Amino acid sequence: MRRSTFLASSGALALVSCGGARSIPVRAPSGREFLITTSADIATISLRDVKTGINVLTMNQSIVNQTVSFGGLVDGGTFANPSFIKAQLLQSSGRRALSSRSSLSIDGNMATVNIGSAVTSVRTDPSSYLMTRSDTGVTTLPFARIRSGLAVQQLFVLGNAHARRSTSSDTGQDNGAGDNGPGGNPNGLPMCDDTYSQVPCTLADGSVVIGITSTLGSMWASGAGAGDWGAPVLAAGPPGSIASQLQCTAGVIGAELATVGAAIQSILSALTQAAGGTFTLQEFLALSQAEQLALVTDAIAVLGLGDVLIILGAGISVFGLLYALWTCQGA
Amino acid sequence: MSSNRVRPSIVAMSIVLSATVILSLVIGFVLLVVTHSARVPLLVGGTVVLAGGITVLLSAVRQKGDRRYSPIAIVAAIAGGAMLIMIGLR
Repeated sequence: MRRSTFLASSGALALVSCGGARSIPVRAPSGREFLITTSADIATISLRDVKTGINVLTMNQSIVNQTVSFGGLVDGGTFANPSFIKAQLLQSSGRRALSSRSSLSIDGNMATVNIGSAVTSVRTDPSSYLMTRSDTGVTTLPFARIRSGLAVQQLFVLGNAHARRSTSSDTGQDNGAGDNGPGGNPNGLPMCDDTYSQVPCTLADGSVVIGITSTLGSMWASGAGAGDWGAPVLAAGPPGSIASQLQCTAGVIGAELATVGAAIQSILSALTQAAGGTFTLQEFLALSQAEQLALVTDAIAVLGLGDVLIILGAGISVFGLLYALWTCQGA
Repeated sequence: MSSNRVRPSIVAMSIVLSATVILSLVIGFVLLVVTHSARVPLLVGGTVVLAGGITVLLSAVRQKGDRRYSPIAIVAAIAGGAMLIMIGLR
């Protein structure tokens, strides 16, 4: 399997997966290698550390094959009710996902959730919805579980749920209503037919798109409706960039995966930091028991059972040796 | 201490290691008090060390090229465990 270079080193990362089981190896600038895997129905996306075999992130989503609007957003418009969305975010995102340090800012059709640099887990109940209720359906932000205490610095939510696809003849201009979706392709995404097989395509604003296994073209040129999606695409760029606004047929899918992608990027960014994402003992103790257990489990996995057993056995033996020495001296 | 920011894995590892050491000392002390003999802690400890050494060996064999373990460390762990058992048996 070919290795790709992970290009995103800052800003947000959009991971747009449009169907099919896919795996893509990525290498963080720190050198650590990860395997991003999507299941066939895109129900699960995982990010696995190749060396340790530990899944550092697993995302499940339950809205596959639904074409929904996003947070009541109308195509090209703005969030219909930001306060409602914020309430939903705070209500349903779990104990740790949004702390007092968290903030939500909405600018136009983009919401950015900043959950602080020390938050180590983004967890929503599978049954809860981070973003619920819209005019046309229900959507969920990803059920993301980020292990190993890696910081999530920013969640990135795209606003527009409507289909926005380019055609194979798209030159980067808004092609209008005839461009396979309401409102055409205002993102101005240039066609990247050559983004097969992890060959990066640089967009107009410098953000990057990488087709994972198939043609990006098939994604953009595909017909309407779920199940007709093309290639998974990994895109990298700062918030607001073209790449960050990639969307699939059901735009919300793209938006959700973009959110996960941002989390992945944040993880990788954290990994690249000299400290590898810092943490204090107090912050560790402030985590939930499940999160602490996950961290400890990871630590045992990293340490290795054998090492732990050796330490344990040595400690037990100490008393035997000391007692033996003491009794010998006594004799 | 709280101002010392370290990698999360180090925090977790420190906790695991500390807990392991404390647990081992507690187990060893309890065994000694209960049995009034050096034999039992030595046999138990040696067996656990030996098991750990074998686990490491199997892990290294299974993951060929795993540079975490040196052959010397593996041999030392197995030999150390066996030695503790032999001392306990004497």
